[in-house]
Amino acid sequence: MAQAEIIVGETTYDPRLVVTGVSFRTLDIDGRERLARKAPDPERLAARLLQEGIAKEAAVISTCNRFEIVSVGGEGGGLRRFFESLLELPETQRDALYQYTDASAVRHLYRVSSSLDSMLVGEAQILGQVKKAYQRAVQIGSVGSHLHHLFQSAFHVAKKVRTHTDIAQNGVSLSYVAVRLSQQIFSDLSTTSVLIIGSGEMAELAALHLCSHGCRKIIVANRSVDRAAELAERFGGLAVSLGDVDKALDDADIVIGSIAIDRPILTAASVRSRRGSRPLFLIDLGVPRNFAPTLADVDNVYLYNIDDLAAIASENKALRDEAAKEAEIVIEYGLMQFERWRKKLAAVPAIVDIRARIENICRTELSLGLPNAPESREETIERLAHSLSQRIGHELTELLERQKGVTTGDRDDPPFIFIPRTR
Amino acid sequence: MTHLFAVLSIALYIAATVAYLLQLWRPSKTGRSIASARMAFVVAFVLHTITMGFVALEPGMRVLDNGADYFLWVSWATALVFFFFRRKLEYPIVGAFVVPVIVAFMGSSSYLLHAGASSLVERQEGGVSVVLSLIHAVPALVSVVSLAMALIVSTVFLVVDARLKRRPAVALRSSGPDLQLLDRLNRQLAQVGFVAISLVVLSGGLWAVSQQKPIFSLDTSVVSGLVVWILLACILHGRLVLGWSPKRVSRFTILVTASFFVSVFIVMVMAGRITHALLWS
Repeated sequence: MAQAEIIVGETTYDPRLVVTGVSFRTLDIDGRERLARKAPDPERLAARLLQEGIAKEAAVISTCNRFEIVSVGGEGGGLRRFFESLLELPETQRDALYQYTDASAVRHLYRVSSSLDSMLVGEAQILGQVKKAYQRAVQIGSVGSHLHHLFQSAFHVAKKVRTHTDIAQNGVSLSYVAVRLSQQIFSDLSTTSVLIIGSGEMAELAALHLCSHGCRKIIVANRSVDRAAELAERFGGLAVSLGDVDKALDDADIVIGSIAIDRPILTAASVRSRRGSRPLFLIDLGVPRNFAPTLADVDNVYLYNIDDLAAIASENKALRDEAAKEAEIVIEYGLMQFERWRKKLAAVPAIVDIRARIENICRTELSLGLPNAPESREETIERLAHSLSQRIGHELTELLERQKGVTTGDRDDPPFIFIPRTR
Repeated sequence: MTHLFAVLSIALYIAATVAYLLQLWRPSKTGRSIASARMAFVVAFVLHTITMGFVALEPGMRVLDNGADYFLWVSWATALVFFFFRRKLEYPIVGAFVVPVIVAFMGSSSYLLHAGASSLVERQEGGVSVVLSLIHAVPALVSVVSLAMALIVSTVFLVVDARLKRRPAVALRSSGPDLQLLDRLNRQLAQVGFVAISLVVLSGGLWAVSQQKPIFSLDTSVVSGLVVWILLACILHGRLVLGWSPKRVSRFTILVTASFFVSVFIVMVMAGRITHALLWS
């Protein structure tokens, strides 16, 4: 397991945004199991964090691969100690706990929501799980404006990553590839029959995927009819002996071979003698090969062996990795927008203050200038405009001079800071 | 006005072709190019239909009695089929084949119109009855469109089949129609084409008898119609009785339909003669 570390954000936020937790990257399956048993309900946990004053806002993301608290406040030791005591983490597993703050925390949540930090990059479930965590926190009222904006922006970024990159395209499992290939051949999988020859784990998995896409019928052929019957029962299918494969082939549209056999069980001749002109999709997962390679040249027969499927899956994986790089750019852009929002939020008191001052100046000038106005209407307006511009200009100059006094030396502050007046 | 609408619809068909090709070459994740292609096609089809309305309302117009009108009607009927089946067939690979065919038909019509081909043959005075003309011309239109679509669908079938056999990873990434759908469409188009050509042959024979003309002549339309009719019968027999594979059927369909269109194009566009030139001259 990788050693987790405290990563401090590039800029310090006020209030601080914090993500504290463990994931499959830092904690092994045993540790995550124990955590799942011991951890209280996410709602109760978030409420407790607020009650004990550890955080101002909190939401808990709890999945089988991660357990994280997203909070406003609670940086440093506070939340960390709370986490350790709550989950009773043994000394050896305390390093598994990580904490991200400010920009790093925002980036981390964006990466998690976009499934860049998932075990299977590009999987779709994580976004739903993060949304659920947010909704739970909203229900118990543990989310304020900061977390609300953070989560909404995370959903927006995740959506952008899914629509603007290939992260969710190109499945990387052999079963996925098998199902997608069959969908390119058959219009409707619910009208197809699958023949499984042998009882290998991979064949079973591929059959399971095909069944979940609605395959009509499953036939299992094996040396041991009992074993075939056992597997067939699981899929609600039929069991036949290995000798009846040719007969079963008449009904089959998809054949998965994963049996240990010296010579191919299906040859071009046996396939050509099959009834009808329906396409035949052959998936050869056996080594030595179960289906004769010459079958690939037969019209209407689509043969793929384990190397073909693995090559497609690895090509897809490379594409996903490429897409992940693009996704990181989308995330950085999202982070920039979040920072912009946060800076705007920080400027709100100053803006309110300066507006109040201007309003005050206007009122004073009006009360002083209007009642004793001997001149004509135009002259009054002109005088008022001149006086207002002078007063507002003076106020702004004063602010600038005060700003000049504040920014000394090599400070990288923005060139203009309003200092709210205390009333 | 007719000319303006026709030109606009051709321009939009070309834009749709480009968008379909773009989507085929570099699929957009947001589906923007397919949406643009769809919009361009639908607007082009509406303009095309308005054009056909103007053409139909022209005084003295008779169904398909000149090459320009013939190709215009064929292009519109092809677009109509794609318009109605666009939900089922809305794949970049199909659009990338169908829309250029429509453009080719419209282009041929335009060429013939400008070359003055429509006036090459004098119209028959009081010859063919309107009813017989419709019984002959409408199925002829249906058969030509079926053949055009069969040519496209068979080509797409062979492309998808070759990809699945040789480059399955590419096949998975490009969103193409599945082979069973293409095969089913191919069969249906051959059946519709066969029935339509049968009607054409029968009505043509009836027309010849009513006009006391020979039933058979060496006219391109008559010869190519009969040849295609026989070959379509062979394809259907091969598929339904002999159990030909979809790939073999597609190859034969391409051979038959492509030869038909090549002969029609050579005679009508390059040689500047319209259908039934021999019979009418």
